[in-house]
Amino acid sequence: MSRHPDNETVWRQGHSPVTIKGSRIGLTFILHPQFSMEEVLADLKEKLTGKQAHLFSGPTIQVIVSTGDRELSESDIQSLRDVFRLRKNLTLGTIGSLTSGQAEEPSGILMHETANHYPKVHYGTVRSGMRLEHYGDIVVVGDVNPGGQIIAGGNIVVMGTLRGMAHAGCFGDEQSIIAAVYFMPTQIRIANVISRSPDGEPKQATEMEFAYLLEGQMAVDKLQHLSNILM
Amino acid sequence: MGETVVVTSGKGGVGKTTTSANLGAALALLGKKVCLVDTDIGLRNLDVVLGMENRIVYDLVDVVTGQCRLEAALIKDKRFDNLTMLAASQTKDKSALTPEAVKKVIDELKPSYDYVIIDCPAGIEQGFKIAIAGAERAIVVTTAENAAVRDADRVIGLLEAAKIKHPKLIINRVRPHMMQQGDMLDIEDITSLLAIDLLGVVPDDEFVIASANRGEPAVVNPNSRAAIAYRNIARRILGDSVPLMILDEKRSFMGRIKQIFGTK
Repeated sequence: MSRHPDNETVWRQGHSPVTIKGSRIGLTFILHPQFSMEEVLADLKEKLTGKQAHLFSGPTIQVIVSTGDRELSESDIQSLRDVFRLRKNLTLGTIGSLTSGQAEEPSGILMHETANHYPKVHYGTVRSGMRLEHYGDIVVVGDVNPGGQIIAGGNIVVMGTLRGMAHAGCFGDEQSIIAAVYFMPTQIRIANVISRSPDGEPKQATEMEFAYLLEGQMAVDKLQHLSNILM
Repeated sequence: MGETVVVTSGKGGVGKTTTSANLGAALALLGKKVCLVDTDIGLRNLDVVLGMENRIVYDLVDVVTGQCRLEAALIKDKRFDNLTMLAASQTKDKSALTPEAVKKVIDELKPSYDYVIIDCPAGIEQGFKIAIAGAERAIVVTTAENAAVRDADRVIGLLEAAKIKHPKLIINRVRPHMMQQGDMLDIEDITSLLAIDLLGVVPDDEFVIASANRGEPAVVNPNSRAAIAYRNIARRILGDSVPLMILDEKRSFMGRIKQIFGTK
């Protein structure tokens, strides 16, 4: 990345604080280091909600933020996440300096899979020892048995009984949810939060439920209340 | 052209070998030509359960390595005209065979029998791969325990991945009174979790152990409840519709009195 003498020159050359590049994996947002964080955030907000915002509508897209050699503070990362949250279909994954090869990868497990951000629909039972991985959302039409694993960059929906392990938002998206018709998982994970079922005999689930993160804590609620969370 | 069926479970000790032997004998009693193949190389048991240990001259490994012809290794059961066994080798281990080689032997057996029943070793490694290589259908045996059901689930996944469609389930060694008390998984729980067709439920019966030790299949005894269950399963394999056995043991007179007064 070439350094420019000052901001004015850059603007004149048609650069803006944030450049967006499409790739096989998803979208890469490049934050040019010569702009202040305020300018970056304002430009990002304009791009995501302004006149060009319709460009980002559609299926879930994996987002990588390249910061170059900019040092991001904890609050900067939080502000970035807040801005990306304005668009539900953008899943913020890696934030890091891609040029120096030190990209932060919260979970590198899905990196090998061909990028496809349409929801992955699996028909049939996910049995013990089976592992379903996908960048975006995963829909299982069938049960997930104990010992089966579902790992998604986005949300997980099980059209059956969830008895196994489900990890939604495995790249760190805390907005992800896990929903099931019969919600009886052995363990659920959203982003970096892990929660397990209470000890003892599992109760037969009677209504559709989903799990989400409420202030960093795992919460489970009736599926009817999902709209309240999404608002 | 016969059908090849593998009897498998994942977990050990749930009764694969007993099930293979009894189903083989029951099908033979119903007039079908059956060949039982033991693929548990190094830990063979099927011959012991069938009481044919002392008649083994050649085994499966000998056939595969070309030491003898296939016919020479087949042992006819003296009690059931239609039953034949191909023993596993006790001195070698599972690496002595490859899935392809075993499939060739099974394919060679198929035209001469109605059913080729393959007794699978425990586990999901080489031995399992050898056992399922020649199979078109599968019977998964489990007991009503969580650990066995988990392993059965894993094995069903592996069978489906190996393109053996629609495996059937046998729940073995069921104790009805424990199920009633809720101390054992009940049949409903198991079938809803595994989501495959139930072929039969075999009650726990001491006679099965006794007859295995004597080296004769339990199915010959018309008084054994397990034997009746195995015969029913054999008939279901042939396509008859046989209702599931009522597992409830008859209550004693005192038991019924207690039930009336609500203490049991």
